[in-house]
Amino acid sequence: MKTTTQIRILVAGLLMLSGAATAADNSALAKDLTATISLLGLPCGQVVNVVTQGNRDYLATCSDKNRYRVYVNAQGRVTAEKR
Amino acid sequence: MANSHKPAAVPPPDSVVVTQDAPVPSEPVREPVAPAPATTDKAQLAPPPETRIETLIKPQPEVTAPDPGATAPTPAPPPKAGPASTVPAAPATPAKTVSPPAPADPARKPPAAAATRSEPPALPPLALTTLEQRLKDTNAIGVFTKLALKNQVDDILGQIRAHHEGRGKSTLAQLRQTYDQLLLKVHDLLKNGDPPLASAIMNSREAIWVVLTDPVKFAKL
Repeated sequence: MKTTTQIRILVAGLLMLSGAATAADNSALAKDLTATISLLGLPCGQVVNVVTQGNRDYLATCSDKNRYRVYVNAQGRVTAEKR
Repeated sequence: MANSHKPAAVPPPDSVVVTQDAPVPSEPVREPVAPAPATTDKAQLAPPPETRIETLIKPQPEVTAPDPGATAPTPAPPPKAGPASTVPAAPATPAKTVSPPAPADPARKPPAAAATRSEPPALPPLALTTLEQRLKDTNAIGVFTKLALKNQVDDILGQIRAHHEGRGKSTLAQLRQTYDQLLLKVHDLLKNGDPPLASAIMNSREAIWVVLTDPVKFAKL
């Protein structure tokens, strides 16, 4: 019983850590996409939500309600398409 | 009656005189204050020309020092630089602290840039390489941003190459404008996350432009 409880606590702790790490990753990605969209000269404000659509392919929702598909095209260029 | 009025009228002029006396002492106080920052600036600016590359290699010690001093003197330039891109992304509180350094650097460039031109012609390429590496290494911007930045740098390099080959559609003035806008964007991106690098880039702006506009130096890039 004691061992089982310890394992449960350990698993719960790992899940919490992974959740925190994921949140940090998402925050970093949102910040990255915010800077990218700004660099491309498009209106956005700040990216508030990111949906991963594929490898280096994201759907970003901005604080000003604009939505962009941000991805790396076949030529290796970062592109933002308004949705 | 008239006498009683006269004394009453006398005090006001006295008070006016006192008011005039007040500004007099305040001026001398200001004078010493003004020269102090100027001297500090010169002292800070003087070494950079020779040490510019060293600044890029060891940015933190030198860059950190000039920032606080530079902040107070020149607050005006930054608003011009990147209001559009800075406003949306940057939070209000940190922007105050960081934005001042940006303006200070471009404002003082003329002397520094002139000194750099006359001093070492071979150093700018090194600075360029160093800056490129530092941009790759910095954690202040993400992978997507770096890639987008690389795209835009490649674009402007292509335009300048075309200009040197005589097939460019843009004039040198237009290229300079594009170049300045790109550097301001980069500065805005870095000023919060990597202030030393942001300052180093702005300090190297003229030196890099000299390299870009010189066909011989540009060909060696």
